[in-house]
Amino acid sequence: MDFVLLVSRLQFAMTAFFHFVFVPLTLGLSTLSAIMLTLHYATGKEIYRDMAKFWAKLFAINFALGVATGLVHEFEFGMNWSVYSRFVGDIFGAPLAIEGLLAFFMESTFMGVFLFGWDKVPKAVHLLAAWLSSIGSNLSALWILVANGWMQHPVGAKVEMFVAGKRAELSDWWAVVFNPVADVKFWHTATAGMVLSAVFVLAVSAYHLLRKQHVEFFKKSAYIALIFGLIASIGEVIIGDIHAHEVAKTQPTKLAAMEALWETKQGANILIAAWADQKAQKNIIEIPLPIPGLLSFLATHDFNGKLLGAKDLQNMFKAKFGPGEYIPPVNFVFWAFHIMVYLGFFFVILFIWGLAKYRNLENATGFLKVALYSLPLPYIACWLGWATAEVGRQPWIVYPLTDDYGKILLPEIGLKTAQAVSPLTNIEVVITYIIFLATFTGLAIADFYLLSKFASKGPEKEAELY
Amino acid sequence: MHFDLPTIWAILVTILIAGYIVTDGFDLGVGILHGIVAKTDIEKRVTINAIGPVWDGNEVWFITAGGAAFAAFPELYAALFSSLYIALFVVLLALIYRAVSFEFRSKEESEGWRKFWDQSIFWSSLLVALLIGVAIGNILAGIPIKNSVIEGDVLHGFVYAEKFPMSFINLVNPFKFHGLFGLLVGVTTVLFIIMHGVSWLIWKTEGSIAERARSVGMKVWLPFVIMYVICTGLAYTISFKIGNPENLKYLNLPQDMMQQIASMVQGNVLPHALFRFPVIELILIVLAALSAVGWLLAVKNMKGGQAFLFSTLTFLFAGFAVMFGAYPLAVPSSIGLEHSITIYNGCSSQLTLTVMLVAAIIFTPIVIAYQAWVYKMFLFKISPESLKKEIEEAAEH
Repeated sequence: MDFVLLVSRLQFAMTAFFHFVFVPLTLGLSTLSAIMLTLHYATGKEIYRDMAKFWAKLFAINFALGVATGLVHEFEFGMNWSVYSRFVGDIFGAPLAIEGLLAFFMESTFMGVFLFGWDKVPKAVHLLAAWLSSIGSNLSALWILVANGWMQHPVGAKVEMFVAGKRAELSDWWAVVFNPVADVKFWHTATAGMVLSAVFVLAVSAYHLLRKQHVEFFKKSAYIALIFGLIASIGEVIIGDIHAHEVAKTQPTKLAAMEALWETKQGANILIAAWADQKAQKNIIEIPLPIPGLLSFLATHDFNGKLLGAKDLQNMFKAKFGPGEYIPPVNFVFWAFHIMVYLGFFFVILFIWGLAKYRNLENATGFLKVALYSLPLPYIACWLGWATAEVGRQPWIVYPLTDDYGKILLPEIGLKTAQAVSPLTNIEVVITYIIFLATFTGLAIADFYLLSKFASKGPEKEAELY
Repeated sequence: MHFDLPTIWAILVTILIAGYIVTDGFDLGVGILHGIVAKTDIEKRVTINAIGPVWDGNEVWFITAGGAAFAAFPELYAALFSSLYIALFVVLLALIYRAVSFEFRSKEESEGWRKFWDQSIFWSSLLVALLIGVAIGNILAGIPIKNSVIEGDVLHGFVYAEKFPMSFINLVNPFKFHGLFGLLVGVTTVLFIIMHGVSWLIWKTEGSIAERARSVGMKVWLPFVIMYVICTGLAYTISFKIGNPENLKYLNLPQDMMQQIASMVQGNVLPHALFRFPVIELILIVLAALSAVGWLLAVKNMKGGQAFLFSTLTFLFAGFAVMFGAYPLAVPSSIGLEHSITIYNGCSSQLTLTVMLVAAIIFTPIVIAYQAWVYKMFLFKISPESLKKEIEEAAEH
């Protein structure tokens, strides 16, 4: 692979990786602290005030880094992917601009009011600000996923010759906004943020409950997290299923890699585990789930539905787009996807277990320990989900518009990742990659240090000041 | 001048950039001033709290300006961001360190920790202010970009003709015209940002910090005015050569605009390229100068609100003078005028511009309304005394 291309991809993946450490927590924890604040103003109980304050403080530490990495992300499109940016800008830029105008302003402005407005602004205003900030952060997820969804399934567009070159142009705005792929992606991501935040609150609560400190405070926090988490995690499983169905229809090569499906099949099985030999186009090991036709059912809603295998897809794409590898790295995509799914089910069980033990939660040592050590798991699930979506898209940066399980509707809109990179020099990309890597790593360490410091300190009576 | 969609979007993007400089500008200024006007730790906390609830909302103007440029002028966004790769990287790095410096500084008691983040706030704020000015200066003076369509390549759009490291060094190279102009505009921007920070500190704080801010303000005013005059004078000398007049069609300009430019060409050079509307520009420049005088009087009399209004107006008038001057060029090419990015060959399709315009008309007033409302809510004065009281009260709560 070309060096500038390789480093640009690594840099973008790294930025996404760090961004996705901070963002899902922002999405969910903003909602959780708004719920706690609502309880405070509804019941007048001081404990909910302290809870909202405590969790919002952790939220704020995390938020600054989400903004910082997000800023880099937005600018990296133009910096490293100039050909991509100019090719898609007519469509892809609009949701990004609206994200700023509609979501980021709302999120950050009202977060300032929420964090600094204690006893300074009227109660109703304070509460409204907490909710608007939470809605703003989730709206930002909606618009960025409208943009991302378009890369996966470029609807509402046509390819035109412009005075500065060939590019994709908008033909139907509402088709872009109501892109089915984008909309399920949004719900999938929003619920993932909620599950992650619920596990986060649960794990921090478990830490204190294991030490028998601030028992009432953290038991109440854990309760809210368990209810919130259970609803979100069940929602996540359902939406995940709808999402996979969309992928099967619109990105058959991604689905084939997710399920290590080499041969075209009717009534295809789900594999619990597999290891593929990409060159030989077959699986060396495969352990199927003993429910015949389940994969076909999930993908097509018919136990006997036909799914194109990677071999046929490769030939089909080669005939249409010329020589090249059109199947993403199967082992990577398969395992990223499967581990994410297994973790998704684990979270449902974790929340049910916690609710069952709730009456005597402070003494349920076994559960509390599992909850505490589960803290990294939703982060891993989020990363793996992201990796499945983006690595599974390869070799395309804009996937040629496809529907009906493999009918390519608009081949000329497909743009390969290798074509999309900026004409930079090796040294430039190496400098930025290394310094960004060092910076993000350092900041993530500082962030985790501060989060753990304030999380383990417990609720405190302190003014919210810089 | 035409009132078509590309022109409306050029105005809107200018407003967004101005919105960024006007809002984030004062907190950048406070970041630079915070080491000078605040001596003790509590004074430093007061200066940071003076921008605490608003700085990240302000930074969103930058993100939105970037997003709007991507959506409305994708050719420009792609060409500029990849051409100014390392410069933009430094700006991003500085913005990151600034954001986390504010957040992390108060979270540890140790003196070393706080000193480290204080330094980080100063340098990152200074660097952002300087580099934004350097970028604006370079772009106005023209950078070596070329339109690859002219060479038959339909995929790459506008690309930078120089390679790293010269592509970066020349941006601040005083022996290259665009580098020199960039440096001068950069210094002017830093001085303006300091003035704007002074306005805010006088408005938002009282006591020792406001006093010191005033005395800094009285000192930076004259250097700013001198630099502004030098930059304006130099801008008048900017001209662009034309390689092949046939290829001017790639600028994609409306016919009458093309004819007007053709009538100005002398030999193969477009002289006074940034002064195509001399009357409007002169009026705007005079208004900017008058606002700067108003600012000086307001600062002298410790009128924070007035000072803020006047520093804002100074920038708005100066900024729109620049926009009118450059119109319809967005990024002129120093290789040949025909390789330039204009608002007509860099823009999105009519449909996208229309959709975005509807969104902007609906949401921009809402955003400005609630930002103004939040500002009003947080516009009570703070001082070391009020901060100490707040800390004590919270502990009792």
